[in-house]
Amino acid sequence: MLEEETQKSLDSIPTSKVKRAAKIIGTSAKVGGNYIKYFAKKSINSSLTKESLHEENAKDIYKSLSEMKGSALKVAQMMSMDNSVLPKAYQDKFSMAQYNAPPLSYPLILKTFQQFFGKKPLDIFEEFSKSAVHAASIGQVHRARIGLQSFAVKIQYPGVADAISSDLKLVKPLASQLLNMKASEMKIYMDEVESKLLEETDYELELRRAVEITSASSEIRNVRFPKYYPEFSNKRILTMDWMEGVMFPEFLKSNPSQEVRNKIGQAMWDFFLFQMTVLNRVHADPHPGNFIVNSENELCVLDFGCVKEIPTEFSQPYFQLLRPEVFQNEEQLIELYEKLGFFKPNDTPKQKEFLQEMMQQMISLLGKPFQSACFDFGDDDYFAKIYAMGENLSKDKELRKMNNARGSEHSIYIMRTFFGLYSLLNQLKANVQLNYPLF
Amino acid sequence: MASKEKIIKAYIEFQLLNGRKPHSVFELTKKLKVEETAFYELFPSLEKLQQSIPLASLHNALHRLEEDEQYPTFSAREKLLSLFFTLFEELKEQRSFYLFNYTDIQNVAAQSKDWKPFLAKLQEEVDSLLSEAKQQDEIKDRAFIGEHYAKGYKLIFTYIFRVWLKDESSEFSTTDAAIEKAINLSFDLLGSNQFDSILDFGKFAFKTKVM
Repeated sequence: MLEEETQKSLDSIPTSKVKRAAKIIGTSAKVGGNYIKYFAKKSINSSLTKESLHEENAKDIYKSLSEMKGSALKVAQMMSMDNSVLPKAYQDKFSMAQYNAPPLSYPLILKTFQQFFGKKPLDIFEEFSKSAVHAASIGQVHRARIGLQSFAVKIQYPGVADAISSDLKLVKPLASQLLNMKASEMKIYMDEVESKLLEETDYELELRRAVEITSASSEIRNVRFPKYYPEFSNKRILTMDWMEGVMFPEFLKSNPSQEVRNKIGQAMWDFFLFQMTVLNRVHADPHPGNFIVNSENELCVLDFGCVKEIPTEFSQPYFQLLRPEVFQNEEQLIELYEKLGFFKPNDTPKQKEFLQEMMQQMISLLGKPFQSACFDFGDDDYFAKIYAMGENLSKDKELRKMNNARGSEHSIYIMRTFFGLYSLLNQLKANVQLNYPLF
Repeated sequence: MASKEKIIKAYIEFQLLNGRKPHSVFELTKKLKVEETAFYELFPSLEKLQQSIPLASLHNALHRLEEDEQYPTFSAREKLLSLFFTLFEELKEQRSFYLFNYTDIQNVAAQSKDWKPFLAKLQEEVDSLLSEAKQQDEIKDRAFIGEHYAKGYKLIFTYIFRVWLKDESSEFSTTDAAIEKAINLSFDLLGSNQFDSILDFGKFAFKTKVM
C-alpha cells in the first residue's frame, strides 16, 4: 500500500449494455462448451478430473467478469467468498476480481470534485496523487495530504448505481446456472444482494455507518480504524486517514510468528463477533483487500461499504441453532427451522427428515468454533471437511430435486461474513479465544 | 441597452414559454421592449442567434480551461476529456433549450445548421489537441487519414450529446461515463496497431470490391 502504483488500463472496455450482454452470453456458451469438452475428453482420457473442468470454467467466467466493472465484479467477489456454493477452483479465480478495473481519468476526478465541493482537489489538499494508488471495486483511491496528515480519498466510478440493476439482470441467468436454482426462487436472495450493492454506491451512508461502527468498536484490542472526514466526503467521494502498513496478503507472505498470527486473528475475531452480538450490524465484506496490518501488528479495518443490519427476529433463532441443548431437542429444532424458512409448508415428512439431517451436519460442522472456549483455525482438516460438505451439497440430487432455495435472505450476508472470517483466520492459521458467545 | 446575453436570454425564454421560435426579429424585440435596430447591431438574423448559443457555451468552456492552472500540465488525452466535461457542464446551463430544440435529432452535424459554427470551432480545438497528441506519441499519425481524425470527434460529440439529452441519472453521471469511455476508446484506438490492421483490411476490401 506504500508504493504508488499506477494502474494499467485494460485493452478493451465493454461499453454498451449490448456488449456486456454479449459478454455474459458468450461466457455461458463457453462454460457450456467446457462441459462438452470435458465429456469428450473424458471418453478418451478418463483421468481428466472434474477439478480441471472447474478450473477452465472459472477462467472463462472470471475473464469476462473482470472486463466488466461494478456490480458484476462484486457478484464475482461475492461468489468467490461463498465456499459452500462454489468449488475451490472458482474461488481462486474470483478472489482476484477486485484487482482489475480501468482507472478513472484525472479530468473526471476534477469534475467530480468541482461538482460536489465546488473546489479542485488541490484547493482542498496540499497534495493529491494524479493517478489512483489502488482500485476499489466501484471506485478508486487517491492519496492526499494536508500538513503531516495523509488521506485516502476514495472516488466512485460515475454511473455505477445505474449499471448495477442492469448488470444483475445479466448475471442472474449465469448465477442460476452456476447455483442450480430457478430464477423465480432466487428472487428474494437476488433482491437482498441488489439492495446491498446499491447501498454500497452511497458513500454518505457508508460514512455514517463507518463512523458509528468504528466509534462503537473503539475498545476492541489491537483493532484500528481510519478516521473519516465528513467535511471532505459526499455521495461520490469518501475521505479517511491513510493507513500505514502492509496489506493482509503481503503480511501473510512475510511469515509472521504464531504469536503475531494469533494476535491479528484474535483482533479480527473479536471485531466481527462484537459487531454481531452487540451492535446487531456487521461489516459484511471480510476479504483480504479490506485489512492492513501496521508496524505494531495491529489490524486496520477498511471499507464499510457493505454492512449487514441483523434483525433480531432473525439472529435470535438463527444463533439459537448453535446451542447444544437446542441442537439435541428435536421439537425445538423443528420450530426454529420453520421460523427460519428452512422448512416449507408443503415439504413431505420424508423431505423434512432429509433436510434435517443435512442441517444437522452443517450446523455441527460450521458451529464447531462456538462449542469450545478456543478454536484452532489452522486446522486444515476442518476446512477440507467444510469444502467437501459444500461440494456434496451442491451435487446432491435429492436436494436439487426439492427446490434449492431455502432459508432466510438475511443468512446470505451473515454466512458470507462467517465464511470470509473463517477463511481469513484459516489463512492466518490463528488460534482464537471465543470471547463473544453467540448464545 | 440590450446586450448579447440579454437577447439570448429573452430568445430562449420566448421559445420555452411559447413552445415555438419567434417568427421574426420584430416579434422578439417587441417582447423585449427594445428597438429592432438594437438586435441587428448584435446579430444579423435569428438563425445566427440560434447558432450563437452552443458556440457561446463552447467559448465559455475553453475560457474556463485556459484559466485553469493545472490544465497546461495535462496530457492531450486529459485535455480532451477536460474539454468535453467542461463543455457539457456549460451546455447544462441551457438544458431545457436543448431538450426543446434537439430531442429528436439523430445527427447534429447533418441535420441542423444550428451547430455549424459550433462544430467548426470544436473541430479546430480538437485538431490542435490531436496534433499535440501526435507529437507526444499518445496517438499515431497516419498518412492521409491522420488529418481527418478530428472529424470523428463530431460523431463522438453527437453521440454524447444524445446520451446527455436522454440522461436521467443523478448528476448526469451516465453522461460522465459516456465521455470517459468514448474519449478513452478513441485514443486507445488511434494509438493502437489494431487500427492499422483494420485500415489495411478496409483498403484491401475496397480494392477487391467484395464487400
